[in-house]
Amino acid sequence: MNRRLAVKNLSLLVGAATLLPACLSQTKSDQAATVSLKHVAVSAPEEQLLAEVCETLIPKTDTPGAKDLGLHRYVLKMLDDCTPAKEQQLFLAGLRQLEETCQQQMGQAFGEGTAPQRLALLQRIDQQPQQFSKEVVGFYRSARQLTIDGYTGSKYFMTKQVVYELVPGRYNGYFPVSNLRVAKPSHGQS
Amino acid sequence: MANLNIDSVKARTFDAIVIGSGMSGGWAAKELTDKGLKTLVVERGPNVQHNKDYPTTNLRPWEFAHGGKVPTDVQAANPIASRCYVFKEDAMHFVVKDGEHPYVQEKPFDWIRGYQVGGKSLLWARQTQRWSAFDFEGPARDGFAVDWPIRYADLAPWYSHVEKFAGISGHRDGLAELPDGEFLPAYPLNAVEDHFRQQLQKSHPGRHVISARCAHLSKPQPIHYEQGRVQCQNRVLCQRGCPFGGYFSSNSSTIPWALKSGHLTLAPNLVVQTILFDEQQGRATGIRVVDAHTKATTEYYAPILFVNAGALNTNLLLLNSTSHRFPAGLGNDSGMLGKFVAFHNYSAKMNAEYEGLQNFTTDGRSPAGGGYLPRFRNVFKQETDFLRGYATSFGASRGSVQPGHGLGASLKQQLERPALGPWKISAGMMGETIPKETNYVRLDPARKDEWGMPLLSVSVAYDDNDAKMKQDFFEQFTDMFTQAGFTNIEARDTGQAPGLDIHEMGGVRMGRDPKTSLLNQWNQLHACPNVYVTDGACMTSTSTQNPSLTYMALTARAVDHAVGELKKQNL
Repeated sequence: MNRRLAVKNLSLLVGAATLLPACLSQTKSDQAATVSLKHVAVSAPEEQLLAEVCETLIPKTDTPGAKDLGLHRYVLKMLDDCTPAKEQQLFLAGLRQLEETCQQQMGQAFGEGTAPQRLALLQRIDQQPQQFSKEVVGFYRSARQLTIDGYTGSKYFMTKQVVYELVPGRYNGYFPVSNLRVAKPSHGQS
Repeated sequence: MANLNIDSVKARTFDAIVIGSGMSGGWAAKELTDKGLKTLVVERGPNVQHNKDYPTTNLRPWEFAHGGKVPTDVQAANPIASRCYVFKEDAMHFVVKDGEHPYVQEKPFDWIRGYQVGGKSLLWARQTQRWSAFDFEGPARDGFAVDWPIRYADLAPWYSHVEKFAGISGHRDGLAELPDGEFLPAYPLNAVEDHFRQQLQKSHPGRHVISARCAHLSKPQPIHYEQGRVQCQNRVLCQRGCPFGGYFSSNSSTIPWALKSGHLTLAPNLVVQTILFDEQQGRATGIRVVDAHTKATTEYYAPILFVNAGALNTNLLLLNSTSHRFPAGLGNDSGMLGKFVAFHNYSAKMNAEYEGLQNFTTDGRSPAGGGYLPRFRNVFKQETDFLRGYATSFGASRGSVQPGHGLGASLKQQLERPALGPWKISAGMMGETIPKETNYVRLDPARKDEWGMPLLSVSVAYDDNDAKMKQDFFEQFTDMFTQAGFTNIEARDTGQAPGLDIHEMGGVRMGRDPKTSLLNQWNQLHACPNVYVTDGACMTSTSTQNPSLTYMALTARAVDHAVGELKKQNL
């Protein structure tokens, strides 16, 4: 086999691998997440639950939501690679407790609730954390922050909402706020 | 066979050898080749060619695997490098990893290194202020270290020489304690930085806030275009390497310039083990290098050598260059080699907010990073219970506010149209430290690295003078900030170890007396004058200015001397 053909076949294989999980509508608990993770073990149903949580945090409105942008995959990647072990464990324990909390509070699984029900549950964790376990609160706070980071750091957000400039080519130290179209994470410095 | 050997030696013989390709090595290469000398530059790390080898330079934030953050396992494997502000996903490939090049810390010392062509000149903070007469006179006036063998007037024309080529932006502020240079237009202070400048004139006459002077091309001149560099585009992503050559680095400026002359041989991936000393001739004759990958050793020869390995590595190389004549290291008759190492104390920060000037923010990015307060303590006379003083970096900026709570559509809206936050103010102390014999580096007696070099053992610490100075910084800035109307003023001791300032200096200091110093007024080893040391190792004292500009000027001056001496056949 010549090298070019081998590379072509390889890319076909890679293509199939990325398509495969999306083809399966049913997910089983012993099935791994679609994101390849090095340090944490997340099952396919847990990944799905996280995707629903992310969508509740950043829902589709007239602009794309968490699912459209695949934010839960960013959350898992950052959890896996850039989160201290202790926080990882809290996150995973909280994610697993969340279903139990749902059963108690909504009488059904998170995924089976309506969007308003899911929003109401997470709002209670957000507003009244003392009523929930430290794992659930820890999970919520990490998931919320990572989802925000994923959203505001996404190509969509940085090209359509708060536009990132690679090459500003200017500096004005007395810029009138009245001329400001949108506030950026950091003005003036990198 | 004999002919082959002669040919081989000839091929390995140059007019000059430069060890190291960073800030000062790049300048040595440029000046030597400008004067027509066939020059070899050896660099222990890989080549980094301008533009070609800046892999992250044009990546957008979302194109990084971790949004710019360093993965926890990389952090865990590199506790020292991780403390450096440039060790982020976009530039960590330019920073030495802890495990690759171990050293011994007799006391905590964060040694931050960049082993590649260009060295740390790729990564530096680009702040460039001249030393003043008060700085060179400091040790003699205040009775520490030894007297500098040069004065400001000796270096002033060489500052001008390097400033014109490198491109330095700044105002002519007319301050005796921070002499003006050959400036391109300054980057302006912003509304709050300017407010502080004006308030300070009233509340503390004699203290000045100026636009930070920096090595950025605010308005390039023909000499910069000739280097292939164009105007700085305010990206402030400098640590990735700049496609515009907007800031000065060896990679964008001196090295390609020297290559263009046709006189430079650039040899990356060669670790210099020792400087060869010929006992009969009583002079250094060349270097022995080991290939970083194959470990094969070779020798190169030249009548003059410039040692620009980076302050502590220059100490390491000289200490390891032993001979019958110099059993304790090349040029080390005095026993002073490796001693009187000093640095800048960066462990004090101030933060505050300002509720005024709410109608203004900033737009674009400032390459200068804001303002600079030259040293105002003990400049004209001794006035405190500590020696010397500190310069201060000072900046103000506004950013958007991140909602601390909430979720759903309302959160999304807040993120998409964020509120503009308050003005945040920060100041960082850059304190002069006093060189002492007890702050030293030496060779580890037993352990060697995989290139056969002894590990460097570092014993450097703060002292009482540093503690008193830090206290004064906190008090003075609390007072100055209060009088400027700033609020939420916080003094913060970072607790960081020496070294993280990345301004380690000394060990091979200049001086008048061979009994108490290693180098003379031309940066030649007193005892081996065809070896010049012009990187941070040569510094007799540290002053408070960022040191790179002074290394550049000292290097250009030393090359001029060396080539003059060669012509007179004195070397």
